Amino acid sequence: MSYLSIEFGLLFIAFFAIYWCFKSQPKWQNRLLLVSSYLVVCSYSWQFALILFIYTSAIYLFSLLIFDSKRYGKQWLIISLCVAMLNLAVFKYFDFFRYELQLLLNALNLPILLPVISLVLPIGISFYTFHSVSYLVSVYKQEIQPTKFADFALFLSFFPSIIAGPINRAKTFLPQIVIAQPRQMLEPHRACTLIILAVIKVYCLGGLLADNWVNPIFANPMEFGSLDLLLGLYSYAMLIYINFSGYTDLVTGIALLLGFRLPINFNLPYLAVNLRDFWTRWHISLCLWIRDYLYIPLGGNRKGFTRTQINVMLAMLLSGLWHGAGLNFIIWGACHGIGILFLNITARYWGADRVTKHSIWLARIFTVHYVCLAWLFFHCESFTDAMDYLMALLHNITIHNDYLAGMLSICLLYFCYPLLKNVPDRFAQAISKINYFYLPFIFIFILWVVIHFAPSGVPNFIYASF
Amino acid sequence: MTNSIKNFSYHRKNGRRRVHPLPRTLPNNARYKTRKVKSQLKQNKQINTAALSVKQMFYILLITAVGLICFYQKSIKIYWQQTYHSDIALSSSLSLLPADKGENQLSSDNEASQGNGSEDNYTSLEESPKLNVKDQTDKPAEKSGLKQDQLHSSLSKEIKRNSIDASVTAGVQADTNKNHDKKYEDKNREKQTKSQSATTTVAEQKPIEKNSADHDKKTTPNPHIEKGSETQPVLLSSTLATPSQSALAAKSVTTKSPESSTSKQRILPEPITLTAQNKVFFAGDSLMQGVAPYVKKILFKQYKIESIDLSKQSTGLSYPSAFNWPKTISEQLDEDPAIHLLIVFLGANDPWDFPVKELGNKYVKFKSELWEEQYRLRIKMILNSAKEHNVQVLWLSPPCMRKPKLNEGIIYLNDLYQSEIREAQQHFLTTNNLLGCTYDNFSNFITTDKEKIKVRIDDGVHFTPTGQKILANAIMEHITIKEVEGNNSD
Repeated sequence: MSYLSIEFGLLFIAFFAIYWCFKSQPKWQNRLLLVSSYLVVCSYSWQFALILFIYTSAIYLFSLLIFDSKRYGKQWLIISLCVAMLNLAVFKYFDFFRYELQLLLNALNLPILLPVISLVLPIGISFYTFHSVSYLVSVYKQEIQPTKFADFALFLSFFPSIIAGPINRAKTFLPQIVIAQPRQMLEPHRACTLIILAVIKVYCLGGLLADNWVNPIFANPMEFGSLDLLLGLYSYAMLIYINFSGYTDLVTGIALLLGFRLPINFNLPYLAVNLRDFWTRWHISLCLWIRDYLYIPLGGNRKGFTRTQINVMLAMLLSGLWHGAGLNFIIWGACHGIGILFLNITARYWGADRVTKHSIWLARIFTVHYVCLAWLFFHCESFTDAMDYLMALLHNITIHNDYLAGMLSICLLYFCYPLLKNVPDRFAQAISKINYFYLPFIFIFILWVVIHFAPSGVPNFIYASF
Repeated sequence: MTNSIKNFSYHRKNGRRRVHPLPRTLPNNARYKTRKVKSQLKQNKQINTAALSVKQMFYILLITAVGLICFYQKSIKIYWQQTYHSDIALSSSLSLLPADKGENQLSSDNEASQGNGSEDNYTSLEESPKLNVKDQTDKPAEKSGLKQDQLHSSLSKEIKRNSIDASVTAGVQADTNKNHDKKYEDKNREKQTKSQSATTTVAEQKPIEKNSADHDKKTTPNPHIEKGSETQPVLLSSTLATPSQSALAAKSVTTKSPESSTSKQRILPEPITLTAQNKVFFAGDSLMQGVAPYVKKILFKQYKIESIDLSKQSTGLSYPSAFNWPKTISEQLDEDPAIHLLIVFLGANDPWDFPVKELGNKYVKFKSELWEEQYRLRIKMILNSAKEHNVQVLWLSPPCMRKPKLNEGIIYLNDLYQSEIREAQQHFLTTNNLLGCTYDNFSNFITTDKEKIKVRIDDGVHFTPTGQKILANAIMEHITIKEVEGNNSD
């Protein structure tokens, strides 16, 4: 069930009413949340819910073993992490590796036909696997104690963040679940602002970008002039940001209405001055997870310059692979890895942030262009498609450009972008001063205008497929 | 924790809030300061803003939802129709009209759409129930008594007549526009009679017919059609037709030649030939959205042939109120005379009950006679538009599906498409053999000796890029590209 559908909207309002009837009993609220989270997963497929339940039980068992065992805690941790990763790998990557391995076997003329297992990717598996890893490591480090099974099950299945949600950390999220005092609705005006912003971003802006620019230009790049192709890149970069940040805003708003605080995921990523800065602004929860559970355990930057670069490259490659089972994602990760490597090497020999110190805007433009080029590999499923696009970009200078107006408006928007960052906060402040009675009418007006300009069809969340 | 991590996560730590005094003016353009001030703003907001109670928030959510639903009733109804293939609770009470009102509405609709000759229309409607007393069929969708059945049977006859007339007039129009000789006209009429007989023969042979009574009833309409054809034809499906088509059908007074003997020989369609000046038009649903870009690329890269892709997800022929393919195709063909080939890929969103406007938006059951007639009419309209504009059609058959119910529906639709395309002598491309599956046996993979190629994604409906490429190549194989000098090349 898409969270931006009428069905979900109406069900959520009903759920909201029932949920807050149990205001004085957080335990009942938790039970309600658990049941409804599993129902959301079941709406995709009951098998996904079963897989989630079995996985939850297995990880919970491991966490108890880690906690209780004095001598073999580390070994249990390693085993449990392997089980978690294997579970993810089998569902997500079996077919990809089987295909690549089969190609290799064919190339070597070995008459082996690898078995084909038709596995459907369970919804949210990438996200709840990472949640469970943070839980296991926190239990091992004794940052938290193992909670009750129901609370842990809720932690893994919490419906706002299971689909493509921010990656929660056990030590910050579990205390919100295992709360003794009654919950409060958090920042209701901001929550409303975030939900309205989500509708504007995903439904209206995302839909318009996809229909008018991204899809036509990417469908046949060779027909378009270089400026149009550049516009295609920019608009895809905008689309993926709007789509993902809109989704994050929606689930953050929903969680606030239920009394939960989710970690932030975005901080104006296209204003980053270099690639390192970009990764502190884009999908922040994933970046922090990779840093804490991959980069630092590999040694981080404490084992010499060369080893640091290897660690960075590995982290970026695995980040790419996490997004999907495809060579194009690995290439995308490699592009970012190479970029950061380049940055580190130039920083070491010629000083850090030289371009930034010279001109912030120049640094931003370099960074955003590099990121847009990397997004090309994210979008194009095959390497040849991406290469076709690049060749067309370089060679189609003489072809007439159809979307010059679009190009100008995007450039203008980029330079106005810093001015937009306070708009949601100001809006939330403004509506907090208005009597609640009139708020629905303001919201109806805004949403009516937004939906009026939006193209038809329910948009899908790009990151829900990862 | 190290200092760098502390700084980094200082403003992002959940659950811990520190309040600092707010500066009077907001400094601009400095990255770190703005971040600090922004978080301070947020913190102050939490303290200063009046907290909304749960009841107040519930009121806000409910009123907003109700308001939006009121504004967008129509869109919601269409969405509900497409997704759940039934009437939403709100609208069914509005559209459920009693039998006598339904008939009046039907006639008033016709008057509104026709303009000229409305009296004749009314007369023909009144006449038809008398003719069709014998022809009552009990359709599952029609629950009420005699009047509804009469309505249905008169409607179905009119639709059949109109489809035949429309195609005949379209053929005539095409002739006058394109200056073909009389042989083509005669061929056309023969085709139409064959199509009528073909329809009946196909319908008789179909395994979906449950009652032998139905079978008998199917053959009886023919003599009635002959009688009825002397009057002005009534285009009941005018909502689907473009103004040009409905005008054509309304103005023409055609005399239907009696049904000739059925010819069992299938005349092969003319091969598809394109030059660099021609354009290709892609129409379809999300399956076409996947395949069309690959064909477009090949056409442009190798032959510099431009193409138009209007394919749209969740569309089909079943719900014209959501998206009207016959109308869209007709308009596009009118707009762009350079289009020489129309490639259609539909069906996956269609095998469900849909409402028929002429019956007061009541839902007709999938695979019922009326459903089939309506659907065939829509296919015919597309084919007629193409014929009018001298555009060749390549129709792709909907492939096997994983879900059994959808798959059964697809098998039925495939038969409909195949019969209509063959009558119209256009090209029909079966896709199952290309995707390594059959309607009885679904598979995500094409299995060869060497490897298993995944062609369908996990939803059991859409294609992988490999699958899309395979279909694109198959489409290209059907097209012959003529270079300007006159040398043929594939």
